[in-house]
Amino acid sequence: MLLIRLAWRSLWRNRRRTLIAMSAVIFAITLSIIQRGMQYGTYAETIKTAVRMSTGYLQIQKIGYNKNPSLQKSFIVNRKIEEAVQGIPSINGASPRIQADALLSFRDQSLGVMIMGVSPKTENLVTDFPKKINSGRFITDDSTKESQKISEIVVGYKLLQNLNAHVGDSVVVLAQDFDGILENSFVKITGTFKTGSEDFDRTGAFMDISAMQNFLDMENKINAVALSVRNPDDLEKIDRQLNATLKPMGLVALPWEELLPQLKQTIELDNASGALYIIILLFVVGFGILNTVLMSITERFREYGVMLSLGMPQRKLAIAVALEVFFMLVIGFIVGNGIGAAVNAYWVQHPITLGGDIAELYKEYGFAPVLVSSLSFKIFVDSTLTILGISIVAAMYPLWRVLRLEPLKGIRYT
Amino acid sequence: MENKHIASEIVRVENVRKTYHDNGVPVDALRGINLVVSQKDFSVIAGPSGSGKTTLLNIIGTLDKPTEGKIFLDGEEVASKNRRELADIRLKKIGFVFQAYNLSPVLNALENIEFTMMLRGIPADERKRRGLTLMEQLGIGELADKRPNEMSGGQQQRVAVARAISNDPRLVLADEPTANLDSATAAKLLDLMEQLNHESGITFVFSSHDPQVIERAHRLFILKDGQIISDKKNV
Repeated sequence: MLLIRLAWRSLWRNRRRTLIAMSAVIFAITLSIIQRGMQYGTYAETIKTAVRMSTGYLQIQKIGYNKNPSLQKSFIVNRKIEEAVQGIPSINGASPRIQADALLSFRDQSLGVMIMGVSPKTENLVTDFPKKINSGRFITDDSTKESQKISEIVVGYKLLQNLNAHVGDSVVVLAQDFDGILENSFVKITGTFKTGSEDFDRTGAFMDISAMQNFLDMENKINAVALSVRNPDDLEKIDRQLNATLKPMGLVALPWEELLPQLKQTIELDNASGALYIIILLFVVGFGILNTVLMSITERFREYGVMLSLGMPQRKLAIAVALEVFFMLVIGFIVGNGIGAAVNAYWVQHPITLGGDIAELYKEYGFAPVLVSSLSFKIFVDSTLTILGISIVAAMYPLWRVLRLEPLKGIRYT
Repeated sequence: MENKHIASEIVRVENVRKTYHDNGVPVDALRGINLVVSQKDFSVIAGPSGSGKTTLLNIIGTLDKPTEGKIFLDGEEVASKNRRELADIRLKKIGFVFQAYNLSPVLNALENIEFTMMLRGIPADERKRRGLTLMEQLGIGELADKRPNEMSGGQQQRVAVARAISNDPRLVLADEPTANLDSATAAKLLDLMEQLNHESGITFVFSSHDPQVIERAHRLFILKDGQIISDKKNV
């Protein structure tokens, strides 16, 4: 206790210097939390936008489908799968999918397309495709229209332009069915979509899943079930729970990281560059801490020499000095985390709205023109641990000098 | 007979030499010192500045190592001990009083006295009780909560004495303890140390060239150029 009192009072002996060193810690941790918060918030927003415009957060597929998709790698949604999905409250939406490559022809123009068979009733639970219509309307549920002779298709706005067709025109779709037989059918264009993904707007199309099943002779088979979740932080747990049921059936639940590997890589790269920036910043702070601690220790060599003369073991003296650094860090961590949390919380509630050309660019690619922060626990833990690590490294040399100090040299130190 | 004699010895210095190197030039600070300090001695190592008295005191106090020779503390040879063992010997057997008091500026008087007891692992309430008793004994009972910068030099040196004797050491080494005190305060401090020597049987070894200290010595070693030129008992 006396040792703790000694360390605490020594810390405040040179109040100004302690406050400067503490400010460096607070500044570093706050900046790290804000910067990482912006990164994590932006990633979460990017992931949300990306999965809402493509795969959903998770997909149930036949094992091997993701790497090498084919119509044959399909399955029927049985009661066991339904129960597995319904048994996880964090899953708040599920929608079946069929995906097939096809040729779309209008008059003398034929273009390759990727048609997604989706359920108009449930698709809006997992993606925002139905909201991306920029002319006409989204497809309707074919299964309820028994009298309907011709199925509906929604195409990317660029695809429509390249076909030289218009909404309301009928086009021919040509594709290999489940058994590899070439099938063709007339479909009517009911609308176009604009997602912001140039590729998808040029080559993508949607049809009702029942119409696709009929057209491709797939009966009740599907290629995937796309899932949405309430909290993306639970993905790993959900994935684990689902796979426990699915794997024995030859199925697998894949998270977005595996469905959209490029997105994952982009985020990882950006994250690494952000972390590098923070590490460089923290090294600067680390040198500040090293300098302050070293100055503070060197200034008190005489006192330490006296303590050693009185019989204080070197180890105990080092503990007293380490306690001082520890107190400084703890206060720095508490204040820094507090400020960082307050700033991030504000930007979570009030995201920074972008304006001008950059906002237009964001919208063009289907993203909301805002910068959102994050209050993910990981940000606070990572920032604190990183600064703790750097501070420990920075305090090593001064502590080493204390451990090597000889009583007489300390007493005589001027 | 010989064993009995050794048992009453607190310090034995045998053929101790200490050579410093000043810019590569060897300087002999001590040149073949032999001395014995017995239990309850009130000894003074005197001599002009640069005679080697502080070096000798530091070597006796295990703060410095001799270049040659042996030091026995309480019958135990200490020159060959490692740093940890020496720290333990200092903590358990030696009390130090420094010229500049050397109290911790962040601890109050009582905490300064408690410090060495804390290092020995004495429980907090026992430390406090002993510390306060010592302060009363040394006439500084009202200073328990004062920090060093709130005390006079004489008061600080009394606290330093209390710290030095708080662990019941076999030996107290005092390096020029009166150098920073006026003569009246120095006299009071020396009275106190004499009293402790007389009543508690604590052995004192001073290094000093202060006549006030020298005239109170029961045993006086006079050093000149690193050698003892006089060893007088019952001065």
